[in-house]
Amino acid sequence: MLLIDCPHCGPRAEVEFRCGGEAHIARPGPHDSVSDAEWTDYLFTRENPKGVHFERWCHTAGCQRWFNVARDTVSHEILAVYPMGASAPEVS
Amino acid sequence: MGGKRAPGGTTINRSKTVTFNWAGKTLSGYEGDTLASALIANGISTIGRSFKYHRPRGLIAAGLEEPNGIVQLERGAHTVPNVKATQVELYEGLIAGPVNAKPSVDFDLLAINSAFKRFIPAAFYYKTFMWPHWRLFEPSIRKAAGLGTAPEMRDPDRYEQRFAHVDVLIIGSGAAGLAAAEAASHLPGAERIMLVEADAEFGGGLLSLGTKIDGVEPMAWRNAMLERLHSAPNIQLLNRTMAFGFYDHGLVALHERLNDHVACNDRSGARQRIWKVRCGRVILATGAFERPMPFANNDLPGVMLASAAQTYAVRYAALPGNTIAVCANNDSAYLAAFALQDAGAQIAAIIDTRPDPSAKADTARALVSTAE
Repeated sequence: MLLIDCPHCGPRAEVEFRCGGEAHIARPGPHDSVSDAEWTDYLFTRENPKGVHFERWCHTAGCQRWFNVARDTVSHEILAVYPMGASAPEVS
Repeated sequence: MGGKRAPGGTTINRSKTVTFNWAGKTLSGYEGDTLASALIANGISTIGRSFKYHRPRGLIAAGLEEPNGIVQLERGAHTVPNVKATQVELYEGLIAGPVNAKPSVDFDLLAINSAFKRFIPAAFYYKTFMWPHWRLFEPSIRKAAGLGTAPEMRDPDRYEQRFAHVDVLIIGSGAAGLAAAEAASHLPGAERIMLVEADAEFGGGLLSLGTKIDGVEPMAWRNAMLERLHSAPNIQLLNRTMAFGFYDHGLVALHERLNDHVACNDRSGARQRIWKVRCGRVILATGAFERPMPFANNDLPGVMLASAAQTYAVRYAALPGNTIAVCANNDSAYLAAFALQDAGAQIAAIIDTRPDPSAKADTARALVSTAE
């Protein structure tokens, strides 16, 4: 079970959080000029990397705030925790 | 074979006799015995039957690695199927019995399966029994398989869970675990230390060791170490607690048995507890399992791991047999042979598989020849 360092509450167990899937997916627009292919890509296509993955987490059983996490999907090591809206940090 | 009670015993309390029931017979042991050691001391060697051919099975090990000593405990709502006899602490009035043997372990009707083993080999497809219809055979085939009986009543016990955060977790309280805990207690920054032991007694292998450690008897060394650990302010000691999982980011799951060693009517509070412990550092001092020697019929009663025989003899003063042959592929088997002889067994032979047995073998040979 992961130990996630919530930027507002500190390190907490994974059961307190909800994973919101991949981060940094921008909604295409304006809506009347988006092709079906672009819209499908936005809705369904996701990265499934072996290695660093940027994802959103919400501390549902705590402060209930969203934030971003860079996590290694192989070692489960959490490489960075950064606020929503910030761009992905350089991690290795 | 037929075991008996020997003198000595490091963890049994001879001033307190405990009576218990095995397969309908009333037997007695001492406080500190496990069900397995008490059965050995009472001369009972066949304690189960194998899953398919119903071959007689005896105890092989003395700890949680025991594959044969699977028993059913208690009756009614308190019944627990498929417990290892080596992990059951004896208490007054304990009711235990074998599984998968009818009418008894000494005379099992389904042992007839052994006679037909040519026709029902491993991976035999039982649905071959299809003429005139599978359903005709299904009930008896299903009945022949399986081990213990599941309880039919609601579980009367309570269970609980607890969380903990520690700087250092030490799993196992043998010589290595105790030394590690002692060293960790002096570390700067180690404010919370936890030492867990699956057994009822702290000490692990020290409880059945035949050699001295730091020049003192192993039990004296253990007691002195435990005293120091008990007086250290930053150490929590948990016995009857087995670490069973090591998960991401230093999470270790523990299973603590709070009430399983108490007679059913005297139990109060939760029966068992799950711990989820987030650890800064984890030290595995879990020791090792001895591997059995492969040879024909090594599954039958009378064949036991050398380390297990040593544990039964030294720790529980339960001698598994009177005349014993020891099979060796390393020096530790000689220590087992010495311990068994000290407990009163006749060592008939030591069979060493090594081409060049070390000096210990000569000492052992001298010992055996003088005993004859």
